[in-house]
Amino acid sequence: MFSNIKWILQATSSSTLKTKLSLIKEALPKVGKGDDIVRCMLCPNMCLHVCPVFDAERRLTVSPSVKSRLAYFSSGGEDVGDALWRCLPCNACKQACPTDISVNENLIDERNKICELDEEPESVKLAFITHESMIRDLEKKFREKFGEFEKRDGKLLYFPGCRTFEVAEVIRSTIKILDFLEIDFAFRNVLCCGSYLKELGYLRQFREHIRNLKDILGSYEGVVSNCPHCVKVFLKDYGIKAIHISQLIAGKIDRFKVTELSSDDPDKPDKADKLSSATYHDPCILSRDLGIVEEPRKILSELGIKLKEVGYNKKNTYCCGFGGIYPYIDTSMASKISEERRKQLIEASQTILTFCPICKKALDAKDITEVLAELV
Amino acid sequence: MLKIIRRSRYSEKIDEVVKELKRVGIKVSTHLADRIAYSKDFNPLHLNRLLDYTLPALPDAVAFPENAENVSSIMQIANSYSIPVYVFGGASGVIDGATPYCGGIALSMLSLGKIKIDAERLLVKAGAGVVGGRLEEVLNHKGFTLRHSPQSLYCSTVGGWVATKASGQFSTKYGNIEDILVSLKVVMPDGEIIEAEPLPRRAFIDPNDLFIGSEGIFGIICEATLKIRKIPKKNHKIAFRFDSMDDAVENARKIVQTFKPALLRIFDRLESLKNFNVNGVVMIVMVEGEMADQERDFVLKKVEGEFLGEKPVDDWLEERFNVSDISKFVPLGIIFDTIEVSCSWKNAMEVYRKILKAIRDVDGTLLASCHASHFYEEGLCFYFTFAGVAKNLEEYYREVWKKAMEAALGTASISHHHGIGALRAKWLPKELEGYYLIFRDLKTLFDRRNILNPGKVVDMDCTG
Ligand SMILES: Cc1cc2nc3c(=O)[nH]c(=O)nc-3n(C[C@H](O)[C@H](O)[C@H](O)COP(=O)(O)OP(=O)(O)OC[C@H]3O[C@@H](n4cnc5c(N)ncnc54)[C@H](O)[C@@H]3O)c2cc1C
Ligand code: SF4
Ligand code: SF4
Repeated sequence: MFSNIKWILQATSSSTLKTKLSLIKEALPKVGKGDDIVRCMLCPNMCLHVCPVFDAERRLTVSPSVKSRLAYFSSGGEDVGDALWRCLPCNACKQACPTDISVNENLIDERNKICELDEEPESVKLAFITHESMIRDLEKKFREKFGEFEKRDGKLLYFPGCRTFEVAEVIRSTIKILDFLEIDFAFRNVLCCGSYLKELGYLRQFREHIRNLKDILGSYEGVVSNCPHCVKVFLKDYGIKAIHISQLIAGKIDRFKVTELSSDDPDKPDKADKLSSATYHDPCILSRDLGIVEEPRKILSELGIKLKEVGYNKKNTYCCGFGGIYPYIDTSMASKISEERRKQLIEASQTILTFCPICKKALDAKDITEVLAELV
Repeated sequence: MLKIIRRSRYSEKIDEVVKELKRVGIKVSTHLADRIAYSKDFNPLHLNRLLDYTLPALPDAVAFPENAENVSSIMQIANSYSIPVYVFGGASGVIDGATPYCGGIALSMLSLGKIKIDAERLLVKAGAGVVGGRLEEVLNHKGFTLRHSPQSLYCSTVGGWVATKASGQFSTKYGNIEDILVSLKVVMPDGEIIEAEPLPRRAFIDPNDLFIGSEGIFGIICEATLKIRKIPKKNHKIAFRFDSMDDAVENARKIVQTFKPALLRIFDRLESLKNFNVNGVVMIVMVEGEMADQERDFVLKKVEGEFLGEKPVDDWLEERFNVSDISKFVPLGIIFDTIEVSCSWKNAMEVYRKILKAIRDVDGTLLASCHASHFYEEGLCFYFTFAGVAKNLEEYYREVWKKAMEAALGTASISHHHGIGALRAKWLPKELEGYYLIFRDLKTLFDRRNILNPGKVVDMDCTG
């Protein structure tokens, strides 16, 4: 609106001198006021229809624009409970927003202010503790279950992401694929990128986490991860080279061509036959933040798998409910989101594929790395 | 920091009411976050106040029914305590309809969110709380569309549409919500649940007519069965430029008295400059469906305007849900609103000029513009936009509305689709004349304790 000067001049030409003076007195001093939180709380919720948290909870309280309103009132000293944490890092709002606002990202600063005052709700404190203890448990469980994978060194760091350790078959498959592709890669113990600290609003701790982890990551040429959250945080907050496994595979997909892999070996049945068709769930961060929508489709097409697209796809995907901190804040609501998404996917095909360990677990889907690992 | 303009008169009752609601299994919250979320609709006065941490009202509790039976229980309990209930859909209404000025219970209809498509009968049954954008997407994924597309599609609900008598951007061809609605399930103010079968037409006065546009004062809409259609495969987009609004309106009349295009809009000079960077008056037309070719040929042959091709239509379609100007204006201390009226072809241009002048003449008006947005054989809807700045914004705002409504009365209907709420209530008696008392009597009959959306439409107590 403000870009069309001709229009502004014509629009205000018929206003009285008194009004023009009022404009100078009342409006001009306010130019530049109003950040994204303010702009969003003044919006009638034009992304309400895509917000999965709203869709599950069915309360305006957790709708995008109202969360911004509550953040504003919180900054004014009101106690709005844990509403500001009832958000996923899905960016469905940003995708729909004409002004490119990400509600979740905007809320982080307000969460941080509350945490710094040590006034965060109990559910937030509990979410922190739950995540920390999950990481500790995972390392232990992983070693018990997959003792065959030893730490190794190489040029590229394979960083599965902490939540990938919950679905260790994805790690096993990825290592198999990286070996098959003759990648010189390193593999270490369970590490967390720290994005949950950021999401919870513990920004001081997050910065410290970055400092510590950067020392380790800095010794590699780059990082490859199964987890879109890790890749996003590495690129955006750590400023290091990172790629998602789908990008690496898509670049070398010729090596996996069914014709080349099919052999007479009876132990290697033609798995692509079994998976003649499937649907694909686009992980939010992979598609919306990293822009990776064609790579997975290219991989599936090269494997001869007929893709049955679900209605909500590509950047208009629908969240699995389990990204970020929301599942720690409200597991039953996160499950409601994943059930809804699963229902949509099952309508398209009984076989659900995806490219994110968190989505895989939430949706009871198969990671594409697993499909590929069965072929090699 | 939080300031509330009109405090609840019912706060001392609320603990007992909440206890009772919980006892019958209703989800209910008294948490401040929920109460702030259900404290207002989208009337612009509330936006400027928000910046100052000020809310127009605050309900004492928010109830979250999940079905009509829950709604019924809530109404029975509310009656027994004589406590107000304010119905909320998406809170996108702009006329201060849902704002709970008396306090009491805010009733969130959003959990009534089921969608069931009947492909054979081309119907969809939707819970009152289904959000329009979601419904349209679900239908689109199956090859259907509602073709009811208010600009607030993404943030308004099915129940809200029926309650406010909403109108969409393609209404010229497909009709307003009353033409798309087939049947309703409603909870009356005393808690009785009534439901009608989805039939093409019915004996006596259609019960739907009691609730379409009733803005929640006669009953609570829980479910609506709506017509759906296959997504049209073919369309053509055409735009023209005219020297004057009069010419464009006259050409529009020629079109709609022959056939109904899906989309027809005329933008005055100011809006044409803003939207299309065109000096003049722009008309955009979109025809779609089986007859699209013939309709395009008619438009090209009969419309006497300068042909502008497809681009203005594409530009408009691209931007039709972008309302981000509001968020840019408000922080500057500017108030921004729209006023829509309906009038006949006979005095269309008189209405257009009178209302525009009335708005412009109010001290503080920075800009006033208009487009014609919905068309009928008998007439059209003019949609005015104004923005103003003043030391006392509320005074300025109320003066604009007063002048615009006074200009409309007698020559136009004071509302085409936004409704009455608290904002327009004082002009309704003049608009309805003899019918006003009938509707007021009906309200008393249906809602003896005046607890459902009090202070709205036909009740001028307890308004903003
Ligand atoms: C940017 C913007 C654009 C808009 N564009 C249009 C447009 O193109 N066309 C149009 O018609 N309107 C438009 N509107 C106005 C508004 O979106 C509509 O009036 C809409 O129908 C309101 O629906 P809602 O669900 O948000 O209802 P709410 O705002 O929550 O409620 C509106 C009124 O209906 C009552 N109500 C809500 N649900 C029910 C129910 N289930 N049973 C009984 N009463 C109920 C409320 O008590 C209130 O009185 C626009 C608004 C905005 C902010
Ligand atoms: S994210 Fe954008 S579209 Fe969504 S409510 Fe905020 S401003 Fe509106
Ligand atoms: S980030 Fe996702 S969950 Fe959060 S407000 Fe936006 S759409 Fe909703």
